[in-house]
Amino acid sequence: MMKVKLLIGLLSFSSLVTAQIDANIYGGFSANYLQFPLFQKFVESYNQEQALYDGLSKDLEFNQIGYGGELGIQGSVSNFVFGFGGSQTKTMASKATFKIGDTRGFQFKSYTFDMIVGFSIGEDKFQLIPYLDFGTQALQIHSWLEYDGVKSYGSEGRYNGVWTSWRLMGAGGLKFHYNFSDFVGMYADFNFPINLKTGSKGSTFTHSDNTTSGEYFFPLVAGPGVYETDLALPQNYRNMRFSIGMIFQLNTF
Amino acid sequence: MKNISYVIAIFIFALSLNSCFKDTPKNDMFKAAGSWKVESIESIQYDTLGNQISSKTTENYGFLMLEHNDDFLFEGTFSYDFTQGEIGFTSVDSYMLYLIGGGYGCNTWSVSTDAKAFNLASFDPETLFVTYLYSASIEKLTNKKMVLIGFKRHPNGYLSSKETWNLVRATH
Repeated sequence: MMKVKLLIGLLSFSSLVTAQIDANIYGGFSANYLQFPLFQKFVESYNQEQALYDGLSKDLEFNQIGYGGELGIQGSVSNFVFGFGGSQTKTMASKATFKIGDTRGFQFKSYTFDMIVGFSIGEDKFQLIPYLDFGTQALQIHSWLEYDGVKSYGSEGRYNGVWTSWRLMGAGGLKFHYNFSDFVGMYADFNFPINLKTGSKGSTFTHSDNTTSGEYFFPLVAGPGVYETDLALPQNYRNMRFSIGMIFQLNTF
Repeated sequence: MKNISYVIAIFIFALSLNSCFKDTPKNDMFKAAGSWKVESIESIQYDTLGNQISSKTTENYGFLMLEHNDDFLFEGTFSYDFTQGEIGFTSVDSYMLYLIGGGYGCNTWSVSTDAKAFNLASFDPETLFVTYLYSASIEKLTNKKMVLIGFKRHPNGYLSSKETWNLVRATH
């Protein structure tokens, strides 16, 4: 029985190898929505803390909407679809304004390298592709103070700098392909990360240079002005992405 | 056509893979490394209510050599040659000048990912301990030009000083 299974497996593999592989490159723009509950909590505690000093004329608001782009290559054998690509997104700035006129800003930048595996449903003209997505994702927090339009990432401001993290990511998604011709088409893609929490497969947000190694982004979670020093900001985020773009068929070989 | 497809595929793979390394400042460190001529330092001092009380500019203030030869350590050493403009500008005018001149044992530098911040630190080779001293903002960093802006603030939140370093790549 084992040998029969092996034979079937080998035959399937050989038919996959000898089958026609269609390859295309794709690229486009994306809109993203960053779900990050603990950063939202940080924003609330930051505003509470500043309220003690009556320091803000406009509270910090977490701006979760962003934009970006992506580029990748995709192949298909029969209905089996696979590919890899990279994407970058950044959120709009989240800002607070101080009564003395300065501004505190945060912005998230995300860099993803991922591979997809899925299957296509539909004809040559229109295809629907549900897929699974695996990859690595780096998320940066850019944090600054702004004086008269000049941004400062320097050490005079608490939280200032670039804080980086990475993690392994799993996602599910759905792609729509519409081919205008044998050469060019367009696509729409909705990508929904599965893991909201990372666990040990990633890093917490640290200052992005070795000089300040060990310096974590500590959220204000224990109350106004009270740091929870045992808890660096964990990566409990989900960066959902909706993309549209163009597909170019490389060739059929 | 087949070969072109492979080339394009490898190119896109390499481009996409770049996103894996966005949690380190390696490339930015190499970009900032090298010899820089300090074209000018502009310093502005403010009182505790944010009003400007003095300003000072000095041109051709020597050479800053940023060394970085390691792929894995995101720190480098530096040396500073004051030769051309030692007169007229003190450490009071520029805190960065004080540190780069060796204040608090400052002997290492680094930049953040995305080249947003320029950090100065003291590294003790005996204990291997790094003490972070100061960080300025990188306003501009290209192969030819670097602009650093360092701020300090009064305890009440108002700015106490702003210093701008304009550096151009030295050709000597």
